[in-house]
Amino acid sequence: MSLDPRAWRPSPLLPPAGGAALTGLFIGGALVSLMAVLAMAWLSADLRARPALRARLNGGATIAVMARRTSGDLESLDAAAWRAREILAKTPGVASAKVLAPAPEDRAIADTMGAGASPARLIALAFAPRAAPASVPTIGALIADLSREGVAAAADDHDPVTGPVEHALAVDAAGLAFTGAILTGVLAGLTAAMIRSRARRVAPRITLLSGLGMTNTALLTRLLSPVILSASLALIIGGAGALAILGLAAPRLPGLAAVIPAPGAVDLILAAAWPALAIPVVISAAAVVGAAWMKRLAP
Amino acid sequence: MAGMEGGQGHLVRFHRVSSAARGRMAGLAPLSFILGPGARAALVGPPGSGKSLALRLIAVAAPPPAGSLELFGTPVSEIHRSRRALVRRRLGLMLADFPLVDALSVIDNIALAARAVGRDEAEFFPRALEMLNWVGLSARADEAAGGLNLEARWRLWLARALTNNPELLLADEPGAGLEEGPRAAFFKLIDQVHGAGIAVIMAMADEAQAGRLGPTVRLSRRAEPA
Repeated sequence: MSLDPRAWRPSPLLPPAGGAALTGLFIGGALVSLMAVLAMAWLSADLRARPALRARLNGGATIAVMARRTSGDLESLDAAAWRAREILAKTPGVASAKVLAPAPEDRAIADTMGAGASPARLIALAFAPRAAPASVPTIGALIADLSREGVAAAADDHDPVTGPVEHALAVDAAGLAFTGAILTGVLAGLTAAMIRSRARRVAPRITLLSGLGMTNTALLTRLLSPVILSASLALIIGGAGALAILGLAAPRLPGLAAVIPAPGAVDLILAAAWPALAIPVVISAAAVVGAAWMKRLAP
Repeated sequence: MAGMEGGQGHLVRFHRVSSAARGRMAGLAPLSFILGPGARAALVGPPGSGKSLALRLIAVAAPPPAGSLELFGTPVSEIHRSRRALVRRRLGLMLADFPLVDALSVIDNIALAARAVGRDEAEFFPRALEMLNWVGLSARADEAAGGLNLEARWRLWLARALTNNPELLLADEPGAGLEEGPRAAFFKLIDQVHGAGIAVIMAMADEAQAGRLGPTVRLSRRAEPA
């Protein structure tokens, strides 16, 4: 007999999945995963940075003190600023009031053109961080207090900035969810298409094996496993690649540490979780398509 | 209702089974017969009378379009879809829907049947060699099935159908295309199968040949609509 039982190895029950197709799925999946994790890490970092910015905007105000003519004399701008600082510092809800040093060019203007031509002196206010919102003085009330004490002042209102920040925060959250969902859908679609293509290619063998008594579950497992393995590996490797890129980039951009994904920050943890969440979705999509084909092909 | 010899109970029971789906006239006319364990029967009739369809209905183990079908004492309507494959493990199939795989070797074609039902290599390999030896193909075990002549292909098909020790062999036009000598030798193998206690149902167009093999169930072509 020509057959050597020791050398014989059984052929695969289902013809192997096409190498080129699996490679294509792997590369496509890895790129999708890379993009997804990068985008989500970036959006997460933005999401993380914006509340801090919002707190800073809502936690303080800038008061501009202007020179004011009293009793025919021009009060020194410095004197007015320091008087305003004393008033503001005693106001309940204000944690600190600090007169900002004038810029050199402002000083030069005052020296050459007189105090009246000088730009306003700025006072940076910080509100008490634990104060109840009701006890935080409004900008209007502060200006009124100063006016009663004879200080001409105006406020640099942060409200116009706070609104867009709040809006951007909401847009980022939506973007995070949308990016995750769309990219998961793209990869699930790729995987499902691959299952469909493989099922069509091995259709006669599926029918034969079912006829020979192989259960649908066993057939489905063999139909799905190479594709699911390829897609899952792509997700993991693409995600790991994205994290490596971020890990390498962060130390080189120290000035942007607050707004870019940083090693150890929560945004990286959120982004790294995406492949783990996407894998079950991809497997489910593949299983649904595979089961539909099994129903069609198995007698 | 025609009845075939055999032991206790029945393996197959057709009761007015037909393909009389609404609006469809061609195919199987109402057919009733019972096949007992170890029995042998030939479904005979002209082309288009539904012989192959009757065998396929048994192999698929799904409810027929009309009438009732029982396999191994159980109405197929009570067999859940997920369990039909388990019923098929009790059948040996030589039907066109379940052909040999030309690209695989002779031994791999047999291994396919054993591995499909989860048998491991150590268990099925001796059985596969035994089957190949019985059909006279042991020297050609590693040849591609696609390269075999027709006689060898029929023999390989028979060996594969018997690999998992079925209780019932279904064969559609067995030995079709063979010369008289090889055909007679092939039917001797089927005689041996029957002699070993395995029930056999064959679909045959040749009534004379079928009559020599045992009881027949005659099928007629359905009247076409005017």
